[in-house]
Amino acid sequence: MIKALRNALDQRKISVCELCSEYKKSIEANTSLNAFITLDFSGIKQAQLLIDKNEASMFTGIPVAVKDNIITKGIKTTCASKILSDFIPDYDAYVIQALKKQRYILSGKTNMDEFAMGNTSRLSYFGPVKNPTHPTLVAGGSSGGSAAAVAAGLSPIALGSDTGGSVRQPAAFCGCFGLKPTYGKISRSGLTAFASSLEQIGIISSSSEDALFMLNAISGSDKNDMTSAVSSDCKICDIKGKIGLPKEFFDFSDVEIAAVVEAMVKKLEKHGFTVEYCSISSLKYAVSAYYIISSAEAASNLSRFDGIKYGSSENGIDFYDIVTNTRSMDFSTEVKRRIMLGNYVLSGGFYEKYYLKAQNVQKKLKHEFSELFKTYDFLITPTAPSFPPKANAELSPAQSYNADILTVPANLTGLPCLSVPCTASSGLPVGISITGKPFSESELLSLGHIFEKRYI
Amino acid sequence: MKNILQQLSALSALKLSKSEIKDLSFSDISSFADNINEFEYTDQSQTKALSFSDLRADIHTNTDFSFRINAIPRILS
Repeated sequence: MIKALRNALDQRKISVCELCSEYKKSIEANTSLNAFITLDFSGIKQAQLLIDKNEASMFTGIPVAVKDNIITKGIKTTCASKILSDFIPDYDAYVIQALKKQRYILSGKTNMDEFAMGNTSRLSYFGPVKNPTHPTLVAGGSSGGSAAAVAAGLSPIALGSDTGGSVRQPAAFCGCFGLKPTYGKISRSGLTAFASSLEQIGIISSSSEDALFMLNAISGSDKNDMTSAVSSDCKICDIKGKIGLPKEFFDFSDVEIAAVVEAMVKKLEKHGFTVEYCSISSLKYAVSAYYIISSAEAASNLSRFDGIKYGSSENGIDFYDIVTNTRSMDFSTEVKRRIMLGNYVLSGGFYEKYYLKAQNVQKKLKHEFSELFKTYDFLITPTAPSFPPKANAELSPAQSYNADILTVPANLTGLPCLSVPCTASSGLPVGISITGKPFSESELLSLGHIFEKRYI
Repeated sequence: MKNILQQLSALSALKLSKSEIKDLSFSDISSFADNINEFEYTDQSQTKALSFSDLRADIHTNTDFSFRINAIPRILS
């Protein structure tokens, strides 16, 4: 998709203005999806000038949708929260600066679960996102707006953020590719912090090649994110190797989903891959560990929203009253729940019982994955354990959290993971999740490319 | 639990009504987290203690992933 648009723009078959106008029309015709919170499409002339001078880069003049928790200078960045509903940042995130250097077009900021806390994209101050391919089902989340935009053809590619599966799961539910790179591959500078040690900016696209182009455009070391790493450009290459199927991931999955993924992986044997079952015994503790660690970090990160420094401010008789009134009235129940849980697991007497235990689970998971990667090149699993729930389904918090069991290990271990879309015989969406060694994005996207060209 | 919730809401700078406390389903969530208590694991590996400035200096140049991923939580905390 991106290469075709690049060629069309470079060969003057279409102008940047015409291209953006087409996408804008599509967005306006699909407002019922509620995929976007804010539209932009500025910078068209500057992009066209660069093309006319034959100095275009890969994303010059290409519209990109960006999740609304990634800071954009002069453009509202709400995190889908009432507390930031009118917040206009005065700087750009690193990834936005990188794309601006190429004169990309920001099509708009996409809808999401408030502060990326959710997996359905129903928990937004601006209303739920609808799934364009399966309208009665949830779009997934928290990057549901980005996934819906790509799936519905409202944007050729989109950025999301992945703290516990928030790029891969909505990508799977909407039938897109979703890449969560290795922790450190992309700078988090300008990504509104939720759980800093777990989250990465990710990519939602309609092909593995498109994800590759975007990854090369936005990855790299950044002085404003000390966890960002120096890394080389990725490419699609010829690969063969050994694939492990961790059986616990399949045991936790719906039988039909497990069968679809196993059948797809077996097809890779024809391409020189060997496939075996393996084991990750600590998977059953992963969700608890994830919610303990992420909520602890969220409680700290969200303390900056006090009604004074950022966003909205409610009335009060003194400083404490202003802070508590703002936070109480402008955070949703889910955000409050996570802040409370975070403070609970960090408080005296509970720290050892919960937080330290969770860190030990994280260590064990890292150890188990690193041992498996001595034998296997890739681990393949379903992206989500069940099909997307109905758009109006009532889920308890614990039910909702448990649905993240297959995606959170990649965040707890920092490993890269690509979700490749496929379909069950019932027509429902299934994601095939490929986890690789640290910084093996080239290999992941190459394997995704094989699935895409041969079997999807 | 009621007492804990009152303390937690104060600690979190939140004022919660009775109905909101019910909506939080906090006892469900904390019992959900209890699942982790049956887990037993002791990390046998001893890593060299590094100062914060060592970590800051090394994090950009050290490409060993296990170093990076283990150093990051220490820096963040």
